[in-house]
Amino acid sequence: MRAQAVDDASVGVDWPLAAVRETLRNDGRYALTQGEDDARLVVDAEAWRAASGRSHRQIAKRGRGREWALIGGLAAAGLAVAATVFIGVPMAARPLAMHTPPKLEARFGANMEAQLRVPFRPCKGDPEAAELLSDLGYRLGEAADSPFEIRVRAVRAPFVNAFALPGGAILVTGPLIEEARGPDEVAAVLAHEIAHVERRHAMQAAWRAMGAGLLLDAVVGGGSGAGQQLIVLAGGFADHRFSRELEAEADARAIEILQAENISTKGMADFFGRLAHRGDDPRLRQAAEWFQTHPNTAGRAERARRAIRPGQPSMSERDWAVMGRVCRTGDEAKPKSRNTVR
Amino acid sequence: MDGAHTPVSTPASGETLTFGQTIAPGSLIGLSLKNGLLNIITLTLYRFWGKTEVRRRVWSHVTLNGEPFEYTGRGKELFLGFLTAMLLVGVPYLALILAIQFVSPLFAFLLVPVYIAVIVLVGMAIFMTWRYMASRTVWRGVRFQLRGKAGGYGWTYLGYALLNGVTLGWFSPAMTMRLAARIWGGMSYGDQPVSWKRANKHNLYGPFAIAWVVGLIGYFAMIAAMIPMFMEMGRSGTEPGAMFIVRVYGYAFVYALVIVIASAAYHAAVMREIAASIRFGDASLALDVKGGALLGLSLTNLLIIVLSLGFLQPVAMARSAKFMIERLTSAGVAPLDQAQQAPRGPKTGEGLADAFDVSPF
Repeated sequence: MRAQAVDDASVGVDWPLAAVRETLRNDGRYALTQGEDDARLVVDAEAWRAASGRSHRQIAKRGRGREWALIGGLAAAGLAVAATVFIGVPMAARPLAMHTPPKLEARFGANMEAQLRVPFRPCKGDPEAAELLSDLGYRLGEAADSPFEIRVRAVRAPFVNAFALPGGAILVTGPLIEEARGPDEVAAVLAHEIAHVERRHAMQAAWRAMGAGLLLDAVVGGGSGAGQQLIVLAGGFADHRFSRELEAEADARAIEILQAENISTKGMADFFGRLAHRGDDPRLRQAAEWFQTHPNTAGRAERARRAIRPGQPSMSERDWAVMGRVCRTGDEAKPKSRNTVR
Repeated sequence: MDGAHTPVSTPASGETLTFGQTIAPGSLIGLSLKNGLLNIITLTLYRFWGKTEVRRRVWSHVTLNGEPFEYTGRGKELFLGFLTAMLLVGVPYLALILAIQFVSPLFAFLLVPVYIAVIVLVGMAIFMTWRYMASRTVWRGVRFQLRGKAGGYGWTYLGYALLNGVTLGWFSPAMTMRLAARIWGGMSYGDQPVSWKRANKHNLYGPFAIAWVVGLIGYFAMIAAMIPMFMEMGRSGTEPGAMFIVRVYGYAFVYALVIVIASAAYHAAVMREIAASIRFGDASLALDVKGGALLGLSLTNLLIIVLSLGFLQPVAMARSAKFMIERLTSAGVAPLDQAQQAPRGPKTGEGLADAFDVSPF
């Protein structure tokens, strides 16, 4: 309150009372300001209350109204963002994915496949085995209503898993084929992944990540303050629920695909059942990866069991024996990569 | 024009500086919890207003010659700055990521210049935060001001960061002091410039060498401790379990703790040297910070933040401010009463710093 007050000292300070705002200072006095003006007038609190006719409560209450309006507005904005993230985007993801030009998804998939060649090197085992695997996928793909040609490849990885990429490529890890106790189990996994392709789940996840993930990140910002991590965690849970829904949908569709090809769904029930009780089998502990990306395996095994119908084996004994060699080159070292992809 | 008020200025005119504070960190617990709850209700959008209120409180409890400082920033300004940063930085980055996924992986080559640009932007963000804070800090109705160009600071920051990398970190003390020189050398109270003259009073490279060597040895010790775990995992071919991950984090935590302890003396020396290098008129500053006391502050603040899941971060901030002001003294006189008002400063604040989480405050 120096510079300006001195300038104005000769003419005095002329502020309309209605425009004057008080800030209570720690020394018990008020600092008076007018609008955005730089000038401050520090006055004795009691004298000011007497002169202005404003009580302590009136002064303290002013500004509260604005704070409530702000909080209300921000809460509404937060609610709108939350509704978009947790309801709107998941609902829109399916139609968006279905209306995405297949060409765009194919290009997305091709880029992803190229990037995945580093952590997941293709298996270079028996070429006949690779062809049998590819043919099984193709045949199941015919039974589905996929907008893309199904291309199944075996890849090297230290865990049991399979991925459906956008655009129809399906990667199956070597250990998954070794873990399977028959061709029907591999067929069940393939049918499940083909269902992902047919329903364009990868594209749905991409739209969802783009819409919900980005919006949430944008609102929450890069900060690590209180609440920020909590909100991000909530986003993660929502994501988890969404992917579980997609998995359940893929299971149901996989059963239809297998039945259309007259393959018994017992393989599916067996495979999921063993994974659900993998704790009993030390060899199966490495299946943790599948368990993480395909949660609640026990419930899924149960559903598959209820749907069991007899059928033809998906492959001859001889072919199954050949397919087991898809990743075996005899002298190859253990794969080093431990990267995983969800 | 204020000649009638102040005596004609002579070389020794002015006031000596006496800093004081009445900060009671515990009194911020209520506000911290309120901010935390409102953050959750508003999907963290309230954070800009919460931060503003905390600053307003802390500033009002710091005094110079008996007169409190005033923080005049607004939540709205931080919010608008954040939106601007998202638009200018987030959208182009997103466009690039989409181009890599959907158009051609060759766009990934653009990531190299983008990451370089990010370092420049981080530097700019730090400068802009200081500039905003200065312009919103008022004493006796007069604002502070930081002159200079954010872009220039950003490029310098990039250059120093590269030099620091090439020298395996040994440029770090010089980098810190040179960057501090740009901030404090560009600062003014109203129109009265603050100046920077490197004091060279406090040895930085001695404590830095200790921190560097301990950091290096600790790093190798951590790796050595982890090797058997990884070898075991490689032999059994199993995926890392929860216990494995807990142990890795445990080692990393112990390492971080060792770094904090080993570098406390260095950070204290940096703070003393920066304070000793700042001049305002004939006034000089002295910050009596010792490594042990700083370590105590860092560890207790860390504990407060971790145990409260981040909710009591404002309490930690207030403790730091109290710690500094308690130890800040000055000798010589400063031209406080000659200061004429500085311009209003930037309209928005700290958006970039919020996006990159690099705010120095």
